[in-house]
Amino acid sequence: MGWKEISREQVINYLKKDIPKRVLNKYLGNIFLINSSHPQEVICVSSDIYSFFNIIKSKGIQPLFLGEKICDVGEVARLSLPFSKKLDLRPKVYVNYKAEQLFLYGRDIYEKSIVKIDGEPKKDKLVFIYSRDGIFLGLGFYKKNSIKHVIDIGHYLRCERKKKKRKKSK
Amino acid sequence: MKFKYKGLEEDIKGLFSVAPPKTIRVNTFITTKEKLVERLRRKKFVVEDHPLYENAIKILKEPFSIGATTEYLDGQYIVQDVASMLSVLELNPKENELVLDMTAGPGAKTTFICELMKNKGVVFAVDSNKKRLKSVKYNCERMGFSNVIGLSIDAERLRELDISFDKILLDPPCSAQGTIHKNPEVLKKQIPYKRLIKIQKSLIEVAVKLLKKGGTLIYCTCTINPDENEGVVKHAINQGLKLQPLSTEHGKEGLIPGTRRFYPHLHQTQGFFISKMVK
Repeated sequence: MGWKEISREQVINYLKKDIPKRVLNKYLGNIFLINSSHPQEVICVSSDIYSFFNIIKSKGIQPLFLGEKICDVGEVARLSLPFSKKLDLRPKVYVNYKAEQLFLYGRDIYEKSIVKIDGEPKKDKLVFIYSRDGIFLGLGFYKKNSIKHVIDIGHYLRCERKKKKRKKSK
Repeated sequence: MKFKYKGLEEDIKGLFSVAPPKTIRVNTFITTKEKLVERLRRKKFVVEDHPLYENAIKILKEPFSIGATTEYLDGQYIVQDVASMLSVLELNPKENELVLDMTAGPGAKTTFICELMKNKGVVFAVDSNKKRLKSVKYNCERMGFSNVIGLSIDAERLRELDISFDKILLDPPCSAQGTIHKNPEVLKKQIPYKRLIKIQKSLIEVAVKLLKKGGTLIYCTCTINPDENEGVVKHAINQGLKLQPLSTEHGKEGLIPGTRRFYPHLHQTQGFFISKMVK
């Protein structure tokens, strides 16, 4: 789990496919680290955290986590949920309660569940999914008659539950 | 009844007879209590204010798990006992301070520290248990906090870093007698009291070394065992710390004046102990 510094330009390169460069320039900080996990995590840290990180690293200790997660980098780069929420970008797609619940279980969204669209989604491009009352739910890809699920705010708990179930069944 | 302590007979009875209400803490960094209460009521949760802290809400009836709402996933609250909230309020972390949470998992107290610091300054969240520290990471991300460094190391190793902290919170592993309502297995298990007390004393020795001169240490546990509470506080005083009375008037006085104890039948919290010391 070693962390090393990467440049702002590299981070922008990871994300420019999904997010306009001018937006990234506005919201991204200046100090970035990437780790060696799979997928790799890219984080942004304050100068205070960065100076402590250097002290910690010099003693051969690696933090499990620090700062603000920006994205995961695997085969492709994927925006983190906290950073997506902070960006507060359009196109936003608002969905009804039933679709909200299904999306939080990893399911796609069908056209009939969409209650409002703010912005102009483009086919096969990223959209930001919100509940009817404005809670950020996750990310999807806009398709002709549906939105393909990418990641949602229930992802971590679902994985934890699965792990627990697997452990119990053993 | 598995444990008996002189002078605490009535409180032990209360511990066995009353279960504290499930409580949540509102994350005021991203919402308000009024908004959250309205949302939860719309979802048919029966909720009520908790008298001990303004941003604590009692969950009296849940149509489904309070840990499975969209609001929870959005980071608007965390499930946390009120006495545990009070320990962080006593720590009184301020923006731009350097704070250490020595046994941070699963992150309820860590996230409250971050909230009170308005996501500024730096919080070290340390837990030797990697799985528990992953929960801290999740809770920080979910609740919108980025001023945290999570270290999965033995607290002893912190001394290598040569960093002094403004404030330290230590809620060490304990016999958890105060949680028997939700962990009844505590009564069946053979508790290694001697080993626990040894760990608690060694953690407090580390905390004393890591604390800045004039810095504040909160030592708290979810047990009622005097040896794990006042006994460890005495050990800290012998290490050079000065006991300071808590600012809260909630709870009842501990076996050493200035410390406080909490019980479900008296305070609607789990069994809990809080002390405050200054270097």
